[in-house]
Amino acid sequence: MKNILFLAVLLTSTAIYKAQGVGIGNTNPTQTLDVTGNTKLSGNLYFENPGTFTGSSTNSYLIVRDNSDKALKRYVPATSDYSAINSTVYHITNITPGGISNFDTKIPTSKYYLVIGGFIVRGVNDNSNIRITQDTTTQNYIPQYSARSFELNGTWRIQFVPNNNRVFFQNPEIRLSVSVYRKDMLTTVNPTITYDMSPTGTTGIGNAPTPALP
Amino acid sequence: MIKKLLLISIFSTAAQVHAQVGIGTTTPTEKLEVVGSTSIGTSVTIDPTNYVNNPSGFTIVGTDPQSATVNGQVVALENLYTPVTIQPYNITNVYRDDINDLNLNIPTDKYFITIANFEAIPSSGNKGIYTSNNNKGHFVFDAFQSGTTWHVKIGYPTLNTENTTDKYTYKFDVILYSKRFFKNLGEVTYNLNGSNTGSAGTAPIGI
Repeated sequence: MKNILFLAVLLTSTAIYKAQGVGIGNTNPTQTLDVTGNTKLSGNLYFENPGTFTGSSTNSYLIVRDNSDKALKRYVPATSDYSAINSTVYHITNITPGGISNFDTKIPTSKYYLVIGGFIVRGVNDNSNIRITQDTTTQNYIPQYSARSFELNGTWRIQFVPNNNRVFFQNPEIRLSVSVYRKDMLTTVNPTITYDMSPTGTTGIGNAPTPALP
Repeated sequence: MIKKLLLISIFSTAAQVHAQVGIGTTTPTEKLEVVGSTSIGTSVTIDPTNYVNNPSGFTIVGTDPQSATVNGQVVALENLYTPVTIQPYNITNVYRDDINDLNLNIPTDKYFITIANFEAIPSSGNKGIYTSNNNKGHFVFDAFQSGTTWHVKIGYPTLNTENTTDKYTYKFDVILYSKRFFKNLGEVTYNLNGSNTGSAGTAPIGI
């Protein structure tokens, strides 16, 4: 009778003990612990040796925690309404010859950081024959560009202007390659490092402080 | 006695299908519910459902290999370690136009970097890069490895500003990618032999 009672307790606890492991919700565990159904852990979870993924990136997904039901889920960028790292192109046409001083992307600075990668300048209707005007006082000078994002009133703005108040000879259009990083998701934004090259004289050789790194 | 055994057997079959197992709790609500920490020695296989958009959003998780108590704690990544770091720079008083070699002191064994978001701000009286001949030079905006750290080079190597008093402020952002998460495919060199088209033959190893 004792034996039968013990059996009853063991079986009603639903865990199936076999030589190859413990099955919960199944009778044929294939691992040390094999759970068919949901698993809820209220404390910390440790993977002491999760193994190294060696397959193709097309076969892997990020695992995320759904902040509403706190369950681990598979992250599929195509169906998610936002992502950690985003890429886009701004194709802006019919710009005044002086360039863009402030284009509001409406992307909030509180959640995102925006950088301009490369850019292409073209003339009207994608005309490649675009140049910066030169007169006798400026023809010997090559201006540099400011192709930079900046923050104003809570949104990211795009600036694209030739320096020294120089202008294009016609209305340019530009294609800007833009990356948008969601803050505190996969990306940390550090405070600006300001470094003064004056003490290095004419050498152009400097030694900036190491950034704060994880 | 046989009847009793039969009853237990039926009951236990039902339990296998419907009931839950609690560890550290007497009222499990899922198939397995653990109150307290759980440590898994080797691999874990999960087949979760897809995340569906909702106002609460999601948090990317990872494992912390350097946890003090036991390796591999599963944590929200932003609380521990982000794979990408953006470091804005503001380099002032550049002599004429040339940053020949600015050591960023970012270790090459842990990170690879890209530079973007460039702005050149001329000092008062600096009218731009100066040349009176037809050679308009070329502009360099490059991140390179030297020794064990990342360096940048910015400027017109073959040209200069007009005056030695001319200065630039260069602003740019460095994006650091941790090699623990991302792969640097290295440098691809290809000789076009004077042609204006080409084919690499294969994608870089690692694509």
